[in-house]
Amino acid sequence: MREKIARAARAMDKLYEFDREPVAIGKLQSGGKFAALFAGEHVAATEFVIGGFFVLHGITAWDLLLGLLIGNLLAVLSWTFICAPIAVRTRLTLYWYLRKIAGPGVTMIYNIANAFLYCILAGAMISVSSTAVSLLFGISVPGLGQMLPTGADWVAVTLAIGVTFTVLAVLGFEKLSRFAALASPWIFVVFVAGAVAVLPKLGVRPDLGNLLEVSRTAVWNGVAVSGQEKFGLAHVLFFAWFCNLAMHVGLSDMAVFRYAKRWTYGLYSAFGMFPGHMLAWLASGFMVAAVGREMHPGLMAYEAVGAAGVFCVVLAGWTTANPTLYRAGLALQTISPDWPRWKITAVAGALTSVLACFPVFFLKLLDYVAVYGLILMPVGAVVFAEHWLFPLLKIEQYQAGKKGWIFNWTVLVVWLGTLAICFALPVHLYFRWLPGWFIALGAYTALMAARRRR
Amino acid sequence: MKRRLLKNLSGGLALAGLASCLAVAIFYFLGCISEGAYKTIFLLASAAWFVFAILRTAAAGKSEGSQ
Repeated sequence: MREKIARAARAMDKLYEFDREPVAIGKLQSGGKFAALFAGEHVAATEFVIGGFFVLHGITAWDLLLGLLIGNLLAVLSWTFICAPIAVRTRLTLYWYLRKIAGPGVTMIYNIANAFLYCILAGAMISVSSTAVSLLFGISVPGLGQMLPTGADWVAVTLAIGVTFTVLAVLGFEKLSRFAALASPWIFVVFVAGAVAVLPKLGVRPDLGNLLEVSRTAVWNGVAVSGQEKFGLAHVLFFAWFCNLAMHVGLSDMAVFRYAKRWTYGLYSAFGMFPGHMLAWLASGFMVAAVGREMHPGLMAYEAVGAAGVFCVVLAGWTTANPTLYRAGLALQTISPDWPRWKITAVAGALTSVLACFPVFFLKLLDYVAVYGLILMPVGAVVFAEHWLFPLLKIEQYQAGKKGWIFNWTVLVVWLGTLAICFALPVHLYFRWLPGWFIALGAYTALMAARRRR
Repeated sequence: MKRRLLKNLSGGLALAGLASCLAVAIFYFLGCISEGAYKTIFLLASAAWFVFAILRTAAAGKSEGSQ
């Protein structure tokens, strides 16, 4: 068994060989590149759903504005003070850094967990795109609260889109990524233009004199739609903060920031959070209100900008699903390293397409995003402790790497233990990750310190 | 030289397409144009963005390659 895991780990290392060495000084990127990267990455198809759900959850306009301002600011600070400093000091990806800390066995488990989470996320993107294509064929889309596929026509459309996205991902990730980069500014414009264009339907006068009043009474009026939980300031604040938890506190954006000249480049994430998340979520709030508070991204975009809106939803779904499928394929390749990339991407795509048929993943997207971040968060806490606290407490760093451990059992115990505690905590799902992070940080440090004394 | 001109020209036209998408939404909001006209112009301006942005990328790639 041990030999099998070691062999799988060696094969997995080969896959990530290209980024094994720390980034050379000559390859560091300018701040503008980081600004563009973040601005492009954080306007996706799911923004139609997230912003819309804030309306359906009955948030008030002021709570939303304040929550988004503070929550997105905290996300930027998390990138700046947690993720970027470690990335700049090590110049490594999380994969290679975690390998030194937790051993190849734990890294493999992390990769597989990540792959399944990526597949579900890509599935949600495909479902969102399906709502747009369904509109063209007059197919009814699943309503709020539906968990299972609603009919053969919905399944057929979703599978067709899933297969198309998968084939495109198999054919060429690199070239398609370049095209996706061109789509980002336009998708952003669709959100802004769409919000402006639905204002007359909501009763906003051309002089904008009643914009605030309409926002408070017709959009974010504080009344939750039947069956939806009522949200307040804290829900929005925490959601905006943890929306990319796996990337900042979970440290997976070390892959990006290892190219930064300084740790302060973390501040460039503001280009993704404020013009990206914040504006797009506000815009989709107006759009969902204009279609009578129906969670139908395709219809929202069509009503706002016409046929281009339908294209936008499909394109935004695809541009986000494409790299997600690629990453899922890369992570899944650890299970069967002898398979070529196209084959494993096809398997990831097939799994994703089947998941996409279940509307629960996009209709419960906000909860899924919380669970996704929560599952990967303890690993970020472990790496943070090893990087910053161990030298201060004179605990030996990188023992797994130095002693050739396949599994650092302490990491695994802390990871699973933290998750068990988090899921049992008697607080709302959105608030569990924060105490969980401190629990993981404290538990890992204490257990490794106790091991030192033995 | 020709490539650079093509790159700049297509870049400018792509930006103009993107700006038109925003402008036409504002005109519709102000009541200057009908909903049908707004959605048609938006679609055409969007197509312009993609066509010229792809042209610009291709021209930029070729001019880098020739240097």
